[in-house]
Amino acid sequence: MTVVLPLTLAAESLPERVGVQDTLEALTYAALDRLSGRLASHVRAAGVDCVAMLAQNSVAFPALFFGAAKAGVPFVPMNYRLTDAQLDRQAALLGRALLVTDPATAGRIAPREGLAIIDTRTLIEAVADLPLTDADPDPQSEACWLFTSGTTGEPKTALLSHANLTAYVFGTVDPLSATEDDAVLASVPPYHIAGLVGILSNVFAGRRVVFLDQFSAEHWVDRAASAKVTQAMVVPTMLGRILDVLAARDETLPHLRSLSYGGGRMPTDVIRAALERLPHVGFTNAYGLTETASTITLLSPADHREARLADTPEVRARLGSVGRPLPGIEIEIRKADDSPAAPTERGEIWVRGPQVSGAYRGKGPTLRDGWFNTRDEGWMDAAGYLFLAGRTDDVIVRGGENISPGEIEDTIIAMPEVADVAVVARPDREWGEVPVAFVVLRPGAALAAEAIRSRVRGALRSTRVPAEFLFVAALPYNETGKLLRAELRARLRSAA
Amino acid sequence: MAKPTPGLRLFSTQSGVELIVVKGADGVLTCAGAPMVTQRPAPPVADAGGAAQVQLTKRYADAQSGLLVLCTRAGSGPLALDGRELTMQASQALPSSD
Repeated sequence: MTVVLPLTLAAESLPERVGVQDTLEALTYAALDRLSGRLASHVRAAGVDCVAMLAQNSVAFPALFFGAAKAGVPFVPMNYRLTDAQLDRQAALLGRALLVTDPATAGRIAPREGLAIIDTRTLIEAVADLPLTDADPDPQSEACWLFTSGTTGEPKTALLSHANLTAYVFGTVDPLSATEDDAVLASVPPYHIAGLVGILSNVFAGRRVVFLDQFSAEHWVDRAASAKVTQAMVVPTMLGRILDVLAARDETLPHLRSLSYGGGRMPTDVIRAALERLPHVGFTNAYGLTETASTITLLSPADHREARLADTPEVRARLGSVGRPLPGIEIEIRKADDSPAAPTERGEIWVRGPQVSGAYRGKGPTLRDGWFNTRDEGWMDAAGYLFLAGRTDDVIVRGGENISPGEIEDTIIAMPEVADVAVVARPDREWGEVPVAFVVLRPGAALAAEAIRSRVRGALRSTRVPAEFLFVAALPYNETGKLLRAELRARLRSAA
Repeated sequence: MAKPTPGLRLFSTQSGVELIVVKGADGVLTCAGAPMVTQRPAPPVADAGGAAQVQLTKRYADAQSGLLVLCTRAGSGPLALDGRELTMQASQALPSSD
């Protein structure tokens, strides 16, 4: 099965229904199908190895995603929030590529050999008279490349095949089941796996996708109300802000029926507040990774209601759970010695199933007997509900964005006054987690927090700037010289 | 007559039924007694209106072979693999996560 099939089906069965729209235009499923077929002809003629996109959400996103698939090359959405230097390093990995930009990103990636850079509008006008290419690619071929930062901050390119991306959609979504009035608000950026899979499942369901070019809570609420949006997916940070706007405006979004969230730690008080403010909305918590083609576990609306009203602590606790595995997905919690953990016992979360890839460009297979190590810590309760305890590798997840402590530490340790540094996550109501730096100065040295802050901001980006700098005499290490990050995190928790 | 492999679209020659194969198997898939084909019949088939209706968006399975198909257009059936009638799967009823 390939990502082309959902679009073919929607275009055949619901040709006149608006399939995708942004603030400037709307395309019916038939128009989206034709545009992607023309783009595919252009991609074929250009003879490139991939179609990269450095652009905000718009109708061009699904058109390019399906167009790349019809041309039989992977689609590579890039993160416009990275610095130009980081983007340039990623561009060097693309090989012969068509790189599509929008007015906000034009010029951010310098021309280089093999890279054909073109603006979205120019490209769409250029393909207007091209014939349609509607080939169905090999299901085992690569459908997309996604850059992930991983544990060391070294960019890795995760590979997902058509079979990986479509397993979840064909296994769980009812095709063409949406009505004319259904609409989903897509605000997750296109370089996020949930953005890609969301297009597939909503097109397969025949549901109109309304794109939000860039997220702000006010903008999201305006669009949800004016487009009569019936469902949406957000990361926890977005939800907290949306609730604030709803409360300030006394808005209830009467058309909204379901809201799913995922991509980071959801503070229990935020989800409780959401359930109270929007009693007519069904909430779904989804857990997944890039390497698993998004969702692998779900906490359903019924689970949320049950947990909220439960008398027993075990059931009440499930409001903080990511739910149970999807059909066809196996999950195991393994202890450090690789033995299976008992219920409620903590360990590393391993996953197996048809949507699990675990493949990276230029690297060998990472699966063990089909099992992928998520490098997330967690446990399962006796009823099979999964709870997350944090990243095995200490990645800080700030507002759905993975931040590697290593790159922040490297920047700070380069300052001559600094003897040692550790950056760890502190739980945060708004962001889920924020980085906090423990800094050890050299004897006799003086350095203000503001100086470190501006150094990190200059070298990296604003989300990498620690929320606080704590100056300490020494960092805790174990007998083998390994930094005890867990101890630092515990200090932050007890101080909170 | 095509072997049902994942992703293959199949069309009934006896009714309007259309399917996508989700999990493949060996064997001959029939609708209302006749093997299904990979091209949509032209002109469209007049539905004889048999008792066994194949329902839109429902999944049908053969436990013995593991075959799983998804109905993308409704019509008269029944569906069978090598003569074994497929059974309709209970809806997964999963909430949308995206």
